[in-house]
Amino acid sequence: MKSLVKLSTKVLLLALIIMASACTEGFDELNVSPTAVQQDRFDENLLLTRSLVYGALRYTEFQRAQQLYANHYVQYYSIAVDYFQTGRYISRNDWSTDYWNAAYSDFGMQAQQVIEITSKNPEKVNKTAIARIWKVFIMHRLTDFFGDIPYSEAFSGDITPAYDTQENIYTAMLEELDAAVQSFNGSKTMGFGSSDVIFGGNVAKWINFANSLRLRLAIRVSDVAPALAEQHVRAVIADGRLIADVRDGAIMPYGRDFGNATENLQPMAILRSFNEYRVSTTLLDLLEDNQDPRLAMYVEPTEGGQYAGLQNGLNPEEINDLNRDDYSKESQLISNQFSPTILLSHAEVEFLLAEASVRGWNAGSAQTHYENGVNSAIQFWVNVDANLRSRLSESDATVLPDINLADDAIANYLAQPAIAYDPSRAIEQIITQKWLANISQGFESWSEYRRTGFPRLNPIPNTDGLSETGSSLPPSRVRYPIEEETLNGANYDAAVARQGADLMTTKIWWDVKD
Amino acid sequence: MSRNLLISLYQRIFFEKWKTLRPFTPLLFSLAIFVGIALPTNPLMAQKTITGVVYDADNITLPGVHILELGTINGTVTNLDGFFELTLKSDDAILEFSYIGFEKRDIRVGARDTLVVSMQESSNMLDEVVVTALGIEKVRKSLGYASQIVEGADLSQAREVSVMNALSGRVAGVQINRSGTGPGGTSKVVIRGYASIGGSNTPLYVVDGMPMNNPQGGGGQFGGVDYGDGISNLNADDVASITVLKGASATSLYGSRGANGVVMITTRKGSARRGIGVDLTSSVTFETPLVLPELQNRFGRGSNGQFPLDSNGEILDGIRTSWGARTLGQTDFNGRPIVNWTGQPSAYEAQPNNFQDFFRTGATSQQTLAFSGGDQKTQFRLSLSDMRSQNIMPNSELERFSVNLNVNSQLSDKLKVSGKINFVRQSAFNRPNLTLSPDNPVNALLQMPRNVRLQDLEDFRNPDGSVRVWTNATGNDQWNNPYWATGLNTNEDQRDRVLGFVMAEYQFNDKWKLHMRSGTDFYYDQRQNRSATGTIYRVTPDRSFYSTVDSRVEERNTDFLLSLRQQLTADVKVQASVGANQLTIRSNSLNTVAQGLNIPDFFVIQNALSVQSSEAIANKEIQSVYATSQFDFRDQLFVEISARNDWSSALPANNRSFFYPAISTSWVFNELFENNKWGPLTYGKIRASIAQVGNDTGPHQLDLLYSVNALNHGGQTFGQIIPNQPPVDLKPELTTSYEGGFDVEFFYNRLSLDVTVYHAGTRNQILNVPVSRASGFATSRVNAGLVVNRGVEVALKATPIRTKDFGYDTFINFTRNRSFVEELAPNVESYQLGGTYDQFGVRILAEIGRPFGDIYADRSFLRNENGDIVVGTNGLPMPDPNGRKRIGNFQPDWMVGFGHNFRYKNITLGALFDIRRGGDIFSFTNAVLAASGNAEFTENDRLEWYAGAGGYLVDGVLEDGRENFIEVNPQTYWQYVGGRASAFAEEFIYDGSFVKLRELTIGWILPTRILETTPFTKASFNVVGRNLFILHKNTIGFDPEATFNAGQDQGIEAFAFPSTRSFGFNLNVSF
Repeated sequence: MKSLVKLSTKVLLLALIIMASACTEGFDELNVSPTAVQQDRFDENLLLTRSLVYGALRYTEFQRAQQLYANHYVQYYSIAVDYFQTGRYISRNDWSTDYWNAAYSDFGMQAQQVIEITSKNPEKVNKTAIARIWKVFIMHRLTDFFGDIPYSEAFSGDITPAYDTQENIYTAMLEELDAAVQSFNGSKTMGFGSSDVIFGGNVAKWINFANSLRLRLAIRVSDVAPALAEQHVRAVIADGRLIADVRDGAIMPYGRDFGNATENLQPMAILRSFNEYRVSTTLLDLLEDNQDPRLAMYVEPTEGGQYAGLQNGLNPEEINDLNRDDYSKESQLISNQFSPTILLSHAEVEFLLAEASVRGWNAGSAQTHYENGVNSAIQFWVNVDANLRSRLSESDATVLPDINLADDAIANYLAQPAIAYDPSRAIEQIITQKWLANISQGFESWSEYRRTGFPRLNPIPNTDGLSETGSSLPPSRVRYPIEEETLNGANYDAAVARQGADLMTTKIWWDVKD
Repeated sequence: MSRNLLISLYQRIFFEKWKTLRPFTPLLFSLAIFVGIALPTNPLMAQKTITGVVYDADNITLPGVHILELGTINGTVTNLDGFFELTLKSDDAILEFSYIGFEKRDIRVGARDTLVVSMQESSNMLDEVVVTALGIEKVRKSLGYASQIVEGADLSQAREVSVMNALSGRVAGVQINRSGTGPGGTSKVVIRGYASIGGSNTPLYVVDGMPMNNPQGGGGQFGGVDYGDGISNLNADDVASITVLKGASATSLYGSRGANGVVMITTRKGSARRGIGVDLTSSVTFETPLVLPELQNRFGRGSNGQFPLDSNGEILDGIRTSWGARTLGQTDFNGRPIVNWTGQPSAYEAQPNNFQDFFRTGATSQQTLAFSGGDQKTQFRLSLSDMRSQNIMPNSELERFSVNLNVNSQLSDKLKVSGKINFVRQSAFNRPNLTLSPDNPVNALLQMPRNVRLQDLEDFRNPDGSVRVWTNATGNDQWNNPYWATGLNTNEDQRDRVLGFVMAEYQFNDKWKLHMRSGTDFYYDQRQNRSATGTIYRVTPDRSFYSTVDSRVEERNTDFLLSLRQQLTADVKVQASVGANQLTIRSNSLNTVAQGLNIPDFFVIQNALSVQSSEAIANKEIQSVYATSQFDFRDQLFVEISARNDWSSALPANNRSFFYPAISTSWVFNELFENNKWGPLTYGKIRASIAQVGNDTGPHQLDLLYSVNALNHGGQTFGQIIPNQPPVDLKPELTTSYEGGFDVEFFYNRLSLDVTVYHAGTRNQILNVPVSRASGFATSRVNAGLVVNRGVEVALKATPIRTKDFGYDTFINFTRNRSFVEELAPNVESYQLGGTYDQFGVRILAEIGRPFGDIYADRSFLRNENGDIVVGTNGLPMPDPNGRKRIGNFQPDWMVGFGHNFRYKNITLGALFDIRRGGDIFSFTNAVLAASGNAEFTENDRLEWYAGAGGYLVDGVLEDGRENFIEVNPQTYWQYVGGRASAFAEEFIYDGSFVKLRELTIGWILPTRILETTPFTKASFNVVGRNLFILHKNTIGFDPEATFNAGQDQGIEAFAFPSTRSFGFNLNVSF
């Protein structure tokens, strides 16, 4: 009996020893992720590329925020299917949430990570500066979309960051752009090289972009905070380093063949293939009324050879009663797989300077800037056309419109009574031209529409009364993600109390036009 | 010493070799053992053979009585007629007869050649031995917690593809929901409610003592395919019994993975007998759709009561709804022939069957051939099984082949070795696509206007190769031709799975026993998904798509258990065990996506225009030690204490080790009385327990990580921070449960009642809580939350009639569970379960202070203080500016399983009803069918409206308080409340209550006198029907069980694949 107990004890001990020795030895190693790495092994260049590509909006975010909200709000396009409702000024939480989420926890965060990683190394100061500029680009779109948002406490890991007022955010962004430009140091390692898919590592172009963006931001607040605006506009003009050529604008280029999965895809090309929208009556009418040479560049005739715009804001019943194929799509120039996305064009800089000039901020001739802007805007698509034709096979190029721009076409267009510069209607003309120049870039156009009331848009029918703003009023902002109420409730409540109810009709800080 | 040798061999093989050898080495090893053990069995010696028959007190023969020759392991079981035959080992044999619920009898054979044995019902049937956690055998009356057993025979009769579906209604406290994802789909199994907010809530499956990995399948809002769950790989004919361990007290020895309950499955084993026994089970069942959508057949394609024709009489392809003219078979319009979408003249008439005609009769054949045999030392059972199922969806098939070998061998008086190897190959071709996928045939079919003829779509290709679809859509479109969808856009999956173990059991003496066991569950999955070149919704240049997934999952468990049984004093006995387990889980997968193809419809990766691949790898190990001891005082008071400590590689070093105890007690109070009975009460037990179960988390989740993307831009690779904030000081989660109950039996088990109440709270849940994205992170991994489950389970069984010719028994299982969310993470008031379903306009939430599983709508009707809908001047309900509103909860109020079994001579009749009360479900399908005018409920008021004599009247009040009198076009109303994306979900939410006739079987057991003329020793024939009728439901046109995945986000139906009724035949013969 005793020996048995002894033996059993031995067996038990032996087994326990086997278990215990195996126990936690190697556990740390085992729990190291085999498919991801920690910061010490990572490369900031990879983060920057993602921040640029996603920040310029890949097709998912492009569709959900820029296309389904802004591009419909400013009536570039009209929804032609019964299952999308944003064009009727009805909230769609998941899409706005997707954009908010991507801007913060994806492309904004990648920019922030670049700043954090590179600022540990003084040699990389220029990389830090580029990431700072890009982060401002991301954040200004976000605050223009929602209003007050977390800015100073954002990206900090604090899971309940406070909302900053848009006024503070704009002030901070303008200063940040100034500081970033000041921090460039020619003696240090220059940019990101080929990882910089916007400017190809050209640091000078980043400086031009930063100043041009600063100009955009300053003009945006010119009604609500004229002193602040003037200070920055004058500073930028004094510095002089701005986007000065149609070929030097900030664009996101798109690369190889559509079918190449390793390639980031041109967002409009994907959206076009979904066949869910048509060119808006508003856009088509404006192009046709003024014999705009961009008609063929922007709009594709229907199969019946007609140009036909679709009214904005039809409800499902109305959409189901019509035939999509009777209405025009946008042209392949805009939505070819090789077409670029415009982020900030030379034309826009000219229009900004024109407005600065109208406001008397020592920016030269408003008319010259206006005409330069129109020229640049049209020339941009001529260049795109040439570029596409050089890259597409002959058979693939047949989808492109025959733009056939006569030598005097732009001049003739500028001579149109409604188009010729008229100081009494300068702001309307400038903003309307900017809207035309920024086709498909609804974020910027919607902001400028809210600021100035231009271009003149058509009311939507709102037959069933579901519009959250009424029929004639495009939304003033987009509602915060529902998750912010539940996950960051106290700060959300404070922001709403300050800014006004979380509705589409609540105006944001810089939107002071009646 | 041989013992030491064994230990060292064990150690060498299982602890050292396994680290380096390929995973199937242990399986080869086990196979080698089988070959070594199983083949050279001793030929049977020419001994005396005894035959006999066993009766109960009422002179009814007793099938299934276990007969054991004492002092040997030689034994047999009586057949269905109570007859047995046994070749004796010794000259002076004593046979022990045992049968559940009856007193054991020992009979000395002596010189007799035949025996007629009469058995008495036990005054105390609770000497019955039940298997508890880790395979520890305990006397049933000693258990301090509820445990319910279902015999394999009850399950295999059902002829379900997945054995878990057959369990539905048979066990209290267990909810089994077959999802609306087609045959072979995942069964959602929840035991005692939803405990975990972020985790899976899936129970642990343990087959013959070895855990079985159970991956889940399902779809999302935009589609997906349900590849089925792991447990459905098991062949039901191999299952001997299933024991469900529900509460933490029962499962705590299984550790973290048992936190959601444990389903212990015992497979059939061989027994000693003369020659080789052969059992053949053969069945064929046929399936047809059980619930069909309710569609209108009075109005055809068009809008506002008009033909879909323009003024020239040309068809308007843009009109895709059934709000057209009355379908009267018209052939002309204004004197011109009516053409349909094909351009051919055709009558304008409804197609009442254009949904169901698409489907065919499904058929499933299952054949199992089992060989069993052995001698007194070694027994084996080898089964081969083949299942082939033809889905009701054309071009969709499922096949499963399995081999299962069980071997037990008594190598010496003390050493017993056993092992199992089970190989399964399951292959499926073209499982249904789900939800909004344009390849979901339900989606494609239900979108068709009511006068579109199905046969016009059979030719699914245009001359130019493009999709021929009734919309005549050019360019991309989400409306597909259902024949293209199911005929060309196919998926395929194959799983090769090996489960096996070897176990050695050493009985040192009558007190000490040692078990050592090592096993593997290994599977290799290959999946392919194809969209044919030219698929209408694909956006690649050639509109094709091809993806493959190759994944491997391997789980290994090695454990030992040392047990002691000892009489401490005259009144106190103790049964104690100590053991340890090592669990390793490794998985890796390679996912490859091909965007476009060079040669059309040639699906091979190297033919891709471009390829994108990504790898996923996960490794985890848990080490555990555990101990349990049970004290037995005078056979009537039992106290059991157990404890377990786990070390998990997934937790941070300082919290890696976690300990949790359990205590349970039972008092068998009938033993107080004379003869252990009190009036009719022949058994009574009160029990109570408190237990904790700890749980860890998934691997590789403690660090802030950066990853490289498979995508690039202009040749520039990019990478990202993974936006999951790593945890600080992560602790294991802890479920604490209290359980109490009683078991009573009257008239010697003729009537029994088992009642359990429980309260379980899961704290410190390891959650990836969503955080404000402005933090830069999407989620933060924290310990948070408290979900409490409270419930009552009642199991009532009765055998009102038991005579020689006629028997009737019945059972009712009642389950009521409430999962309630008490706490979430700091700053978090609600947690979204599963995906975002804004496309459906609903979301499923866990909210503080609310039952788990609230269904919220994004848009709702404005109501006044009386709750009346407020109607605007346009006659339509006004939207509530606050929009979001809770519209239901998916948890059922209670469930009842209700079974009857009748026996008249050799004929049996069984019926099982499954009843569920409550639990809401939103139907996206009905919202779409409302907008399209296809739903039957949209057909009223149309003619009145078109005639200007009425319309749809919303039941509500106007803003000024008057009752609404503004009639609207029904089309306007249904397109306003229905449709995709902008629906008012509250219009389409239904109470999910149902009463189903789950199973009906009629069986005939061939009597002995007929069998004698055949080579068979046993034969029976059954007619089986499953899910024959839904006797009651409140849902319109869909099965209330029709959810589309097995996650926490239940309560949404979206183009669910039709559930099926099945009926067929089942033949069992043995020889």
